[in-house]
Amino acid sequence: MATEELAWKTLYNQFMFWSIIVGLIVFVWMIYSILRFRQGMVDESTLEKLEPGTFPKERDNLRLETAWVVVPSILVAWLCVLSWTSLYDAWGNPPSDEEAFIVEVTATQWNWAFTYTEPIVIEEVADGLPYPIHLSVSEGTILVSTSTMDVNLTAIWTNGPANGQFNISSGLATQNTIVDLHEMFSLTITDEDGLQVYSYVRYSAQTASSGEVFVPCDRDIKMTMTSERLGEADAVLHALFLPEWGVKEDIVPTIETMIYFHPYETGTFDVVCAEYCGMRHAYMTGQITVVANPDSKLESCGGGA
Amino acid sequence: MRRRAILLLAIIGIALIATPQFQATPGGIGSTADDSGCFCHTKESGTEVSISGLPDTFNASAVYNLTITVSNSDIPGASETANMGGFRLLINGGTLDFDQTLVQVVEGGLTHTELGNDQRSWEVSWTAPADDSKVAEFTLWGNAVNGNANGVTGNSGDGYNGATYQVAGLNAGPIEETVDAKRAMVVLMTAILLVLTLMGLAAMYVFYSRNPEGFNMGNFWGWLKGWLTTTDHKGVGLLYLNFGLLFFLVGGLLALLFRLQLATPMNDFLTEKEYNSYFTMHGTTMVFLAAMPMIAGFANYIVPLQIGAQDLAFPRVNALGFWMLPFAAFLLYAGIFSGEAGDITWVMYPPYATSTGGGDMSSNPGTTLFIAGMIMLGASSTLSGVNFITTFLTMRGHGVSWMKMPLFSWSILISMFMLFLSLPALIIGVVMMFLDRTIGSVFFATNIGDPVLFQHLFWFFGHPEVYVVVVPAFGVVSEVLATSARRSIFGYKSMVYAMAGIGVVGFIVWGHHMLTSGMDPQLRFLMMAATMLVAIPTGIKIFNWLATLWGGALVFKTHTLWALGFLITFTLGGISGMFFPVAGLDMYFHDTYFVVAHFHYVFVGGVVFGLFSAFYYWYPKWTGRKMNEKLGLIHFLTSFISYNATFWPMHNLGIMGMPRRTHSYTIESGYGELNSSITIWAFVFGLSQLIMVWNMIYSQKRGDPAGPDPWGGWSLEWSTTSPPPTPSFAEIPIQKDANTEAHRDGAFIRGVKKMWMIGEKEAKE
Repeated sequence: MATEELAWKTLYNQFMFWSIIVGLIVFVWMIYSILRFRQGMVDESTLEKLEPGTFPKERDNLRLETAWVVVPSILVAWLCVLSWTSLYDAWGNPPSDEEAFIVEVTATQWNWAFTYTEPIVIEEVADGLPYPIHLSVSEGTILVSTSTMDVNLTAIWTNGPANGQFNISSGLATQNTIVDLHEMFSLTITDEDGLQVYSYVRYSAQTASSGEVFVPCDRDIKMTMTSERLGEADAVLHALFLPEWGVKEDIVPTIETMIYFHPYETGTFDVVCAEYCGMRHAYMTGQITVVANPDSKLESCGGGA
Repeated sequence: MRRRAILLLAIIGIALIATPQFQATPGGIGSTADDSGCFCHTKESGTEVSISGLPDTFNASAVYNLTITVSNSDIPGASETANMGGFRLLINGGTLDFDQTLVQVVEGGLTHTELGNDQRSWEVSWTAPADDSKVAEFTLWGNAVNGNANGVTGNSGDGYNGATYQVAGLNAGPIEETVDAKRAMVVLMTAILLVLTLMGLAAMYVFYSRNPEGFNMGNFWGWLKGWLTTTDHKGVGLLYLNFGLLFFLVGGLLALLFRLQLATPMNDFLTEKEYNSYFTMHGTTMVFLAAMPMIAGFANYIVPLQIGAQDLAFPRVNALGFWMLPFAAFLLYAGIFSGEAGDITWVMYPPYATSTGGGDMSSNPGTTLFIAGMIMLGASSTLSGVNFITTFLTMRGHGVSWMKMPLFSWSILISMFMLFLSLPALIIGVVMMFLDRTIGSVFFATNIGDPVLFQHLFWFFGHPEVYVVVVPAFGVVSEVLATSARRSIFGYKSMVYAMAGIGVVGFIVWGHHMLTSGMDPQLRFLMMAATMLVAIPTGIKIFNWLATLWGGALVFKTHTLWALGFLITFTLGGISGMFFPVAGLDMYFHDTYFVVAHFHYVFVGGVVFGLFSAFYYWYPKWTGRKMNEKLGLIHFLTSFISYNATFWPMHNLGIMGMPRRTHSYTIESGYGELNSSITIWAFVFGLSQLIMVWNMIYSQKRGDPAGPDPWGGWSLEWSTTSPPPTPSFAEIPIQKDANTEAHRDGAFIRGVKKMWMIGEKEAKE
């Protein structure tokens, strides 16, 4: 998909255009008739007479009536064509499991739980940091490098149950430790004043988070959704609604449904439940954060440039 | 025979008493209500909770050491390091002091900390209030667990229970028994009772004013009994109309209550449970107890007069159909008495609607009665369907052939056919749901049954239902516009075909309500295309109305204004309806306020405006007097303006992304301003309906006398007196025809025949 314009906005504009045209025809016609053909402005003896108990003289015009069967039919056919493409985009063309970033969504009353199927990294650098910080994490080493030697920073990391900290006093610091990449890994760097200058979180596959989810920018995102029971109550319907991309699909207890979309911009957006699910339905909300994707060529996704 | 009937009734009665087991806990155990604990546990009577160390009476500002204990012999505590139990304590006076490692304050109540979870008794010290003329109340919820859940919710070996204690101050009077009242419920019930009382008094006044000298209760009862036992189509029709109007006001009151809740962000005017049952009751009331009875009322009163029948085919079945409604209404509302009314939305989607036994996570116990009420409504509508279809088929007067029937009668015929054909789906669905709730069948259960099946059943009824209520409005507008333009309707035959077309296509479009419900994508395309087709017959009707106005001599009466208002709002509602079948747009707009705006434009701007027009148009026929035109004009202007100001901004809310059926919204969402404005206008709209009610009461005595045909209409009802005699026609009337024999077919049919060269052969012969 080359276009960044959302499908629903394009369609909305097209439908709005035709709506305004139809509305204008009807209202102009109606207001003109009301103003022009009032009692006293027309010779009533020319009209068909209405008498109680007598079916009045019929009045019709085949050409006119045919016209307003045929013209709306053409318009409806055209609108069908317009919406056909969107039908394909919305449901007929899911991204393949190999390419897409897949998140498993579990809805309960009244909470969203998200499980990643591949690792995702969220990297944050403080505004106006004069030197870049580069971090690389592998099974045996944590390596932090900066482009300047004149630093005095502290790094604190956690990895599942393990944690530790080390200082970065020259441009390069290495910590040799066993890093379990099946567990969540996070690292924050603070300067000598205790201010955070850098943070790094890596959610491994199979990490579950509740109420908030991170997805990479400029990649097809696919969310597979199931509804689960909690306590004695039955599992109920929910609907995952992401207003930012205009996608929504019910979550039905017996089946697995899915939605997919493609973010072109980083940012934090709402996650809403749109299918009534009981007492706290209104408060079944969450957050979705689109994080920078270095593989992307788009500047709005933190890549390229 | 009679003995057998009594026995049967007794068995049914006993069965009804025995089946539904209602359980109304004091608010259950929820997460935000005042009396709540943690909603993730289940209630179990084996768990005992207690506070020891409480004095019999307290001294002002004295300090007492209390011990909170939770025990359950079936759930032994696992160990000192695993979770064993928890508690939540709410007090209404005094202060508490405690060990902060074990006990903490959360949301205004005392509870255990993460560490304090590992034990079953906690020590706190309570400083009594400084005022010893008060009664201190302790509400305690305690929970015993066996530690197997390990931080996640477990549902075995996990039970909570509650207890309350009252300690009077030294100088307090004896403790009074207090009733735990549901405040907004009380407000609502009071309002309903007030309305009923007022209606009773109004009926009494109407009777009194007819003959002030001869008034006594015996006479009054005799007159009232006449109304209660009438089988005359006019009497039953007026009962239907009054019933519909009453519930129109009740439903409106419910709407105003939850509009207040939505007026500001994060409001707590209504609790979540109250809000959910109010919008459920609002939707069901407006569709089944307001719109449908009003339409049935007009159909009852007007149709036999229009087609020249003396009464309906089965007058007693007709009365039975009406008298089922008050009882159905009582069943639907019965849950309100326990504060647990149905909260399953008017579409009643399972599995939430069939979920029982999960406390606050399941639907309210009153839902069972709600569904029973739905079954009864279905029975009532089926009876009217049979009755009307039979009447149309067998009792038309002389000269009232199919293609010479007034359009209002045609609209009722088509609407009754649709109702009759679609109702079985709904009834099957709700009966299955009733069984799921009461005897534990699994039609819609989440692991074995199919929750989406109900959605198909419901919308197979639900979408035709929209046309069942809107097609009669088309009929009304056709009559009113033609009469007001002082000429015959343009394209009578295409009007009939268009209505019939809507009646047919209406049955194959139900899926557009379910585009995001996990339905098969192929079905989705079919439903999308079929739904768009509805625009064509609807368009024919709108253009024919406009062509009727063109060249006519329009007279502006109140009913004309309402019909023109209908034309505007219904066109807007129809246009916004075109947005939903489109997959890409429906993914966004489904279940947002855009939908709410759309169907209020169709239901209020279409159905209700059409019915208002009918009220003003046929009122002289019922009473012999016209309604006041000045009050009518004020009613139209206030209602039309406030109506649009209420519902138009809901489109914007929908585009902003506000989902429907939500109890509240955050400040950051930015929905606040539009919602506040909507609430204010909703009140104006609600209050302006009282003008019409007043107009009806006022004009009954003081309106201008109307002859048999005050507006110059042509159909048969205008040829009898106002009000008509009983039976409505002394002898079967004859409807004449102004079209000469040669023009009998009309241009449309002649055109078609010419096109296909039908009839040419006959002419040659």
